[in-house]
Order: sequence, then structure tokens, then C-alpha cells
Amino acid sequence: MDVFVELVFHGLIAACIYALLASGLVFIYSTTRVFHLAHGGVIALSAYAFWFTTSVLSWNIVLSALMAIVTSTVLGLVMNELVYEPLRRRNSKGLGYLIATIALLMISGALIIAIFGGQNQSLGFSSQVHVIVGAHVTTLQLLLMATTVVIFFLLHLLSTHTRFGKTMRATADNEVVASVLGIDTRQIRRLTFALGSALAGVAAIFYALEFNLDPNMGVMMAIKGFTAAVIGGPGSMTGAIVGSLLLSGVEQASVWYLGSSWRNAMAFTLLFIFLLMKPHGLFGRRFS
Amino acid sequence: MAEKNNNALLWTIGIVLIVLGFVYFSATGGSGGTLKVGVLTPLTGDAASYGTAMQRAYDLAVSQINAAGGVNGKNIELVYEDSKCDGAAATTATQKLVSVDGVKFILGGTCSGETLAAAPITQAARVLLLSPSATSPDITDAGDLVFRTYPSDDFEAKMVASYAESTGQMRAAIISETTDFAQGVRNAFKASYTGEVVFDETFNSGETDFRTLITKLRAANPQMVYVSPQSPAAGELILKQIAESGMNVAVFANNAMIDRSAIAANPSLYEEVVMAEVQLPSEGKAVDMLTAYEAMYGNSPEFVAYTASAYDSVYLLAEAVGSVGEDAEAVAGYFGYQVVDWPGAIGTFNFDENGDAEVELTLVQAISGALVPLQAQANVVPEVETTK
Repeated sequence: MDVFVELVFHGLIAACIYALLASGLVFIYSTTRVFHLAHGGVIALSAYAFWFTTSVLSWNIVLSALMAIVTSTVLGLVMNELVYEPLRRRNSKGLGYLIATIALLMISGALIIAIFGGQNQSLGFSSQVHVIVGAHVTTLQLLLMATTVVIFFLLHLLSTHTRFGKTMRATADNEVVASVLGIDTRQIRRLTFALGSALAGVAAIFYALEFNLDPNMGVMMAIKGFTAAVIGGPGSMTGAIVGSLLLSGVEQASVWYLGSSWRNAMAFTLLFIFLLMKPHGLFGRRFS
Repeated sequence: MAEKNNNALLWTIGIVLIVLGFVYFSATGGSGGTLKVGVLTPLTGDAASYGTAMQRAYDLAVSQINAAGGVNGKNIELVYEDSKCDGAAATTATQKLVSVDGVKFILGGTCSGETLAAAPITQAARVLLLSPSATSPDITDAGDLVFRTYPSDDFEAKMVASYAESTGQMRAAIISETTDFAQGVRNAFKASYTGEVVFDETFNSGETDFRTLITKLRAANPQMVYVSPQSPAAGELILKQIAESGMNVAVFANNAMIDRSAIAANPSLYEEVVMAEVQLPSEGKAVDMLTAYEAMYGNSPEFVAYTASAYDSVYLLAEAVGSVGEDAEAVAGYFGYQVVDWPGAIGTFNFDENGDAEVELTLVQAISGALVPLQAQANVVPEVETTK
């Protein structure tokens, strides 16, 4: 029983990390229809900024956390203005964005090596261990779960109960009509990128505290976030949560029953099955 | 008409640049004034922590040798290639060193996987490969021009196994990374351990979440865990997650985790972890090297034994080339017959008939952020072993 509870917690912790990765991706996709894989690179760069300010410059951890969020927001905005907006003006199609975003993802990894060096870094952070119904959980992990729930709740409120949320959805549905109705769609996209990328900063902070930093970690994050988002349905926040839970559950089960080396293989099998059988995900809407 | 002139001008500039490029590269590439030595070491990624440590050791030895007049009047020039601790990257890097740079000697690889990937290429091109830190037992048979200055993992795993047995730890769990080096350690341990291996699982490089694996490990109820990662980064995460799982178990780690700065930064994580390392002599070359290292880099090396090994490998190579000339076969012969009880920074050194190093290993334990030799410590506090 204890072992089962422990496994459920492991699954939840991993799911929260995936959900944080996926939240920004889905948020940006749902308004701009850009599958912003470079989001993984933004997370990696802000995680390094977080590490650099706490470990090297010995800043206060709260200040460093703010720095990470500022870094990710600025990076997201810059990527949107310099790459995605020009592509939009040229009426690029999906493939153009895909190539651009993969290029940005690679550039992020190279930037990390250029700025912070090619070495792995560790913050050496550890927090108190609690025993909750037989499972061992740290304070950081509890904070991670709470933060994830709060973020998704706020995102839900934002998209359903605010004027900004409405204009966001209008922009997503039909950009031309939205702009005819007087919505500044470019401004909406800008705000979406700012907010979505701020979420990358939050993911980066938790990831850096919980695991190690590796210059190429952005690629793996993009893949995991992408997988969770596709399973859930790329435009849906509920989908991001369910997709993360499902992905994490399958991973934990494959580690338990098959061994750790099977984790990614089974995760990709799951992605493959969804792309084949349910390409719009569990909660996705069909777009023409 | 003006446009045509412009085009002609551009073409001329382009051609001039290409010609100048060729002249430049043939002038620098075909130089006769230096002894070119290739280096394979990971400069990026997980393994960069010890890859760059090797780089500092090589640079130190080369700067000393060059300052003292070089080898037969020639300065040594190191050509670094980032082999990323990865077989595929090492293959490309080796091919580049052999075909483009035309080196006859290569220092490295730092990882076993790199060295095993490089060996077929260097063997075919009759280039000498001298690794300071690739410890996989498989390298013993990698070729007649493959040498190394650090003992094979066979010795390390045997020491760990017999120490565990002598302290009554007869139920072992093994967590190992799926790389040549880490699997070499795992297999060597399994071959010599007489207790029961109750858990034996592997993980892929880049893995960060070991929690479920550790829960599974705990369910197997082992007395000891042997952690065999490829790099300190992965190993440290395993230690962290073992600590967070609330499990209390004796932990042994392979030599990839002997990162002094990491151990000093996180003393509680490493507390009582047992590893095997070559202990440097407390006098002679070892002390000189450490002094020179601190003078050059401003701090002491993180991987002391590997640093000494890399430092020695440059001197061994320089000495051999100085005496038999720039010929890989002759240098191999020199290593085989002339290097007898060679006094190195790493200690008294010999190559065995397979080109493996014969240097003594010692078990060390992390205590309050420092590595303490187990024997010495057992003498001071005899209760340590019985309380385990």
C-alpha cells in the first residue's frame, strides 16, 4: 500500500512538472496557433539565469526567481517579435513556423553553452522531507503541486472570466474577424507570448531546484511538453493537465514494470498511438 | 555596365579569399615546427565536468614541457576535439584528427565509450591512443596501440565487492547508466561479488527522475547500493533522491563521482559514500604538479587522480617521442619495454602487457565533504565498520 501511495506521488510530481512545461506551450498555441517548441529553450535559458544569479552571484532566491521569470518573458517576447511576427506578415504556413521554432530551440542550447559554458550545473538545493500517508515528499514538491494547481486555476479564470480572455479566444478563432471588430490582434499575441513565457520561468525555477541543469535540456523539455500537449489536445488547458497525468502515469508504470530504460520508449509509444488514433488529442477541437 | 563591374569585383574578392584561405591552412596545417597531438575529451554535456578537468591537466603539462624546450626542440601543440562522451561524436572527432590534422598520437578519450569508438579508427591508421581515464575492462583488448594510464574498473569493482563482503553486506542493489563505462563497472562488480544481487537496473543517459526506480529498489530490501553513473551529475541526483526517499542504506559509487568540488558543496548528500581512487604520493612529482596546478588555475583540481593521470600521460608521451621519435609503433614499443617503475604524479607506474596501467587503488569515503582513505580511517575509528 505504502509503495502504491509513493508511486502515485512520484507520478503526480512528474505530472506537475510536465503540466508546467505544457501550460505555456498550450497557452501560446491556443491564441497564436504557433507550436512554440522553443519554449523548451526559453525554460532552459531561464533555468540557467536562475542558477547563475543564485549560485554564482549569490542573489537572494526570491530575487533570482523573479530574474528567471523576467528572463523568460523577455526571451518569449523577443522570439515573437523577431521571428514569429515577420513570418506571420509573410503568410508563412505551419512548416515555416516549425522550422523557425526548432531553430530557436537549437540556438537556445548554443546560447547556454556560449554564455554559461557546456557544463552541467546543480543548485544543490534540498528541502525537508515529509511523510504523508506513507509517501516521502519534500517541501519543494508540495510547493510545486500547489503552484501548478494555482497556475491552472488562474489561467482558467483568465480565459473564461476576463475581457482579455475573450479577445484571446476571438483572435484564436478568426484573426481577420477579430481585427475587423477592433481587436489589436498583434498586441494580443504579444501579451500571450509574455504571459506564456512567464510560465516558462516558473517551470524553470522548479526544474532547477529539483533536478540538474544541462545545456541541452531544452530539447527534452520541448519533447515532454509537446507530448503532454498533443495527448491532451494542443489548444486545451484541461487537456494539458490530463495529458501530463497520462504521460507521467505511463512513464512511472513502465519504470516499475519494465525498467527505467523503457521510460522514454513507452512515452513515445503513447505519443505515437495518439498521433495515429486521436490526432486532436483528448480535449482538442478540430481546426481546418 | 556598373553592375557587371561590381560582379566581377565580388568574384575577384571571393577567389582571392579562397586562395588566401588555402595558403593560410597549408601553412599552419603542415607546420614542421610543432609536435601535433590530438585530444579527445568531452567539453560539453554531462561529462564536461571531468572533460574540462582533463583539458586543464593537459594544458598544464604541455605548458611546462614547452617552457623547458619542448620535445626534440619542437613545441607540443594540442588539437582539441569535443568528443562529448559519446561514441558517435568520438568517431567523427577521431576521423577529423587522423585525416585532417594528420596526428600520430591522440590523448584520450576521457570516457570509455569514446575510447572504444576511437580505437578501431586509430588502430587502422596506426595512430597511438593514450587514455588517462577510460576505465572500462573492454579497453584491455582494444588494440596494440591503445594504452591507458589509469587502472581498469575490474580492480575497482573487485575492491568494492570484497569490502562490502568483509563488512557483511551480502544483499546488493546496482543502479547503472547505459554507457560502456558504467556497464563495465556493473559487470565487473557482478562477476566478483559473492553476495546476492537483489536489484540490478539500468537507466538511460539524460534521465533525471529516479524516484520510482528507487522505490522499486527499496522494495528489494538491499543492504548496499552500488551507483554506477557516467557522470557526477546523474549520480548526484540519484544520491539526492535516495536521501529524499527516506531510505537508509550503505552507498558505494564508481569513480565517475569523485568530484571533490561537488562533494564539498553538498557534504550531507555524499556522507559515508564509498568510492575507489588512486591516492597520489605525498611527495615528489605529485606535489610539484599540484603546486603548479594551483599556480596556473588558482584552485586545486576536482578530480585529483584523473588530473595526475592526464598530466602523466603527456609526460610519458613526450618522453617516448623524445627518445624514439615521432613514430606510433616505436612509442608503443617504448611504453611496453622502457617504462618500468616510472615515477609519475600518480605514483610508481608500469604498463602491463595489454597496455593497461598498473597503479594501486584505494577505497575512500566521503566524510563531511572530504574524501578520507578507508584504511586510515578504520585505524583511527575501528567502530566504523561494526556499526554499519
